Order: sequence, then C-alpha cells, then structure tokens
Amino acid sequence: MNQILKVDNASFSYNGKEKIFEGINLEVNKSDVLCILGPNGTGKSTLIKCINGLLNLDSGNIFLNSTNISEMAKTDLAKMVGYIPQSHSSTFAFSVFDVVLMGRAPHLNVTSVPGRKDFKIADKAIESLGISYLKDKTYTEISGGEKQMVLLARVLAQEPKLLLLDEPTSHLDFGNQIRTLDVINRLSQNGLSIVMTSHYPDHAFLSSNKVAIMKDGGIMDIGEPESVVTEENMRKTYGIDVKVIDMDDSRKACIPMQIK
Amino acid sequence: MNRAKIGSITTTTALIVLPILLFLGSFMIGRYPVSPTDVLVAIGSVFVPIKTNLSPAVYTVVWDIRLPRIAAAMIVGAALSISGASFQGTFQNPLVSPDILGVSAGAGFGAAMAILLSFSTVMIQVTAFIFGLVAVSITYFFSRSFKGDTTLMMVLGGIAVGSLFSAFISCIKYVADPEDKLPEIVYWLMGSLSTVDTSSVVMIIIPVFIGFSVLLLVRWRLNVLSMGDEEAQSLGVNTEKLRLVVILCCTLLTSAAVSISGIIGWVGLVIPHMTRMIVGPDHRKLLPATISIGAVFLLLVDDVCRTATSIEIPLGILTAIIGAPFFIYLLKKGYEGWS
Repeated sequence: MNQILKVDNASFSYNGKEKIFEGINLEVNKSDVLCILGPNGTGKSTLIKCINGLLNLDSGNIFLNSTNISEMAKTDLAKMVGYIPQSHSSTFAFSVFDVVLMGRAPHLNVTSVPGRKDFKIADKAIESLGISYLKDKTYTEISGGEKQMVLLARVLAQEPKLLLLDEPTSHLDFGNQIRTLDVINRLSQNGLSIVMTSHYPDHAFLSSNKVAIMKDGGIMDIGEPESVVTEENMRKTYGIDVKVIDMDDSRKACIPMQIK
Repeated sequence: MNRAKIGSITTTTALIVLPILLFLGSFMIGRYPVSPTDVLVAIGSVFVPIKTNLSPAVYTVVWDIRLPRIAAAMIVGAALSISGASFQGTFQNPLVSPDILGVSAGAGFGAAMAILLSFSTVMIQVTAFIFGLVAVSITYFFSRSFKGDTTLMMVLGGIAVGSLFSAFISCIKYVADPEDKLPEIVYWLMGSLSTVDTSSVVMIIIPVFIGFSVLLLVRWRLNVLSMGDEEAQSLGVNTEKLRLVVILCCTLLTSAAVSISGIIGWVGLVIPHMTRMIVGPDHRKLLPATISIGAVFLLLVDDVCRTATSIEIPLGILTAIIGAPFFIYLLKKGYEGWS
C-alpha cells in the first residue's frame, strides 16, 4: 500500500515541560496530499520540522519508507524529503538557476561542485514548472509568487519522495495561491506525496485527499476533506461560523460568515 | 547569451593575467632601479642555466628584498579577502569581516606581548599567530556553551573577545617603554610589510595552503549555507560541521596574514563586495576571484606604501584611506549584492 510517512505517537516540547503537541499519529501514502489545518500556534510548523529532522521529537517515532528518521543520515533524509519553509529571504543576490541548483546538495558530496547532470536536472525542474523565463533573473528581485515557484523547482531538483510545505500559499495573491495548489495537484499525480499546512480550509477541497485538524496539541480530526472540513469542526477550530456548500457534484466550498 | 559568455571569458582572463603582470611589474618599483629584462633574467637564471652579467646587488634586491615583500602582499591580500567572503557567506551577513571572531585583536595582543618581552621578529610572528587562534577558540567555545542560536552568540562573543584583547593591548601599551617598545607596538598594530623577509613568508605557507585549498573545496556548499541554517539542513548539509571547517580555515588564513603584516583593515570587507559586483555572489566563482582581486589590491597599495614617500607609509593606514571612500563609492553606484 505504498506507505511513505508514518508519524507514530509523536510528542514535542521546546523546553522539556510544556508540550507543543502530544500523541500525534499520521500516515501518508504515495500520491497523498495531506493538508494540516489549525489555529496559529498549535504546532503545525513544528510538526513539519520534526518530520524533516530539523527538530527532534521528545517521544514517539517518525518513519519514512519504514525507516526511523532518527536512524537516517541527514543527507539520506534530504534525498527523501524536500522542505519549503514559511517565509524565505536570501542575503545574497543569487541567480534563480543557482538557487534551484542548490537542490542538488544532498546528492553531491561535501567537496564536489554540481556538474552537467545536475545542471540538466535543475533545468528540467525549472521547465516543468513553466518558469524558464526566470532562469537568469536575480532571486532577490523577483516577486513572492515567482519565488515560491523557484523554491518548488529547487525542491524538485532535490528529487524527494515527500514534500513538506509550510503554508505554501500564505504570502501569495489570490491567483498565485490557486496556481500553487494546481502545481501541488500535478506533483501528486506524478507520484509525490505532499504534507502541507494551511490557514485556508477551502484549499483542502482544492488540492488535498486528506485533512488533519491540529488543535490544543493534538489531532482533533483526520480524514477526507468532505468529512473533516465541516461547519461544526470549523467552529470548534477557529471559533467562527462558516457555511460549507456544494459547488457542484464534485466539489465543496467553505465560506466564512460575518461575525455578529 | 553569447555576449555574457564573452564577458565571462574576459573577466576570467583578466583575473588570471592581472596578478601575474602586477607581480612582475612590482619588481621594478623601488628605490634601487631594476630594468624589466634584469628582473626576468634574475628570476629565470635560477631555473634555467643561462650566463648573466648581472651584479649580485640585483639578485639581492630581486630575490631577498622584493620577492618576499611582493609575495607577502599578495598572500595577505588574498587570505584576508577569501576569509572575508567565506565569513560573509557563512554568517549570512554582508557586514562581517574576517576579524569578527576576534582574531586580529588576539594576534595584536600576542605581538604586543612578544615585543614587550623583546622576542625576535620570528617569535613575534609565531606569538601573534598563536594568540589569533586562541582568541577565536575562546569565542567558539563560548558560543557553543549556549543552546539555540549559536551563530548570533558567536558574532556577539567575537565582539566581546575582541574588545577584551584590545583592552589587554592597551594595558601592554601603557606599561611599555615609550622610548622604544611603545613605538614598535604602535607601528606593528598599524600594519606594515616592511619587516617581512623570506623566512616569514615560508613560515605562513602551510597554514595558508591548508586554508585556501579547503575553502576552495567546500565553496559550493557555502552557497547553500548562505541561505540560512534551517534551509541548508533541510538540503542535507551538516551546518555545524561546515561552519566549523570554514571558521578553522579563515582563522588559519587571517592569523597567518596578520602575524606577518600586522592589522590591516578593510581589505577583508571591501574586496568580497567588489568581487561580488564583478562575478556575482556564487561562491564557486566568488572565492577564486577574491584571491586574485585581493592579491592585486594589496600589492598595489603596498607598492604605493613603499615608494610614494621617502618614509614608509603603514599599509593599514593606506588600506583604510583607500578602502573607506571606495566602499562608499561602491554603495553609491547602486550595489545590489545584499537585499
């Protein structure tokens, strides 16, 4: 059944006392898109960082392809898992191509520089997202939406099995949000598994086949978008009233009501 | 595309040819006149057995006086520049210079103490080198005792260690004999290559060689590291280890440079920026290019130092006088290397 990721009874705290989250269980299969919803500060980003090995769990385990990540070398982990952080800036004015090329880092040893094969893979990643026109531009001078595409290209050059996206749509305009979700859909159709966090319940309908709601350090509900993104769950999660309506026979939409 | 390629070939050629030309040209500059052919003959006759009728004085000037000095200027300039560029990438901060972790102040203290204790020239250099390493070690282990953001602690720790050693230098100046020791210490701290001889250049060759080669080997990883720790780690880079390697190399280089030249400011800050304007921020090109431009810059300045006036101008003073306005000029011209 092609299980890529399994999070087993995971808990984490920064200081050893206050738990950020506790008893988290998740499973992600090949081509799954899991969208994690939840209010600010519930540890969505922290969980993503734990899956990526940037932070270590207090207890519990995370398995990638049935291997415990605590037993994996960092470079092996980076070959399996790609990560795009929430906000991003670069101090130096690298070209877009140079940034994408960095995705090859886990595949090269410490003293080597990327070669022809790596250039090709980077080129292919850039082309597959339709951003060839950006290739020679300066990364620090392109727009937020373009940056997001460049980072996606970089993560594709990394050739991972699992993609972790921390709020991939949060800094984007309306159109770029939907375009990003479209890319996510295409990537999952090509066999990538994706875990992303989001503040837009509606995005779960647009791109995910699984939704988890994190609240108060645990998973409140998990399952298909239609059964998790409900009017009642949204009220419990965000404390506001929403209407979940049928757009047509294939899609629902989640619309917030006015606060009275 | 084609024009860009031609441009990059021109740049590469210039970066290789300029240092060689200036290296040869600098032999002709100085109080004792040596003609271009004499220089070539004096250098070539050692490698190829040709008959010459050059006076021994020309040999002495070329081999024992000018060669060590020219070599030292180039090595020191290159070492400070590549260290500056590597540190700026490693600390993701374009304002960082090679002495950010306290190496210059440490080396200065070592030299001042050695001068106070009437050590020989060689021992002054050795002591300076060792105390440069000591200062950075203190900074490093201090920062490692913290949990969390060690990079920030390292920079702050470096500032603290630097001013601590500066205070020690002041102590030594205060107790030094104002007739002979004090001027010597002050002169050393200003930075100069006037005391350099063959043995001092030979002494620093090993640390400098290690520093250059390791930094050049890991130069592409510096690109990844300069994007921030978290991102570099998610790309499988062991950031702590890589940073330690870079710090070690830069400290070897800077300590070696400072030990024979004294404290020379600005080169390690300005040259990396200037080079970034020419070849861009990619460390694959940036690091080799800083070696070339750093060497050329310091050799030029040192040529001026030893010939412009009848007494030597301290090198450190001139690099600051040239470096600071030049830096402002670069900023004015619309430098876009930092966001």
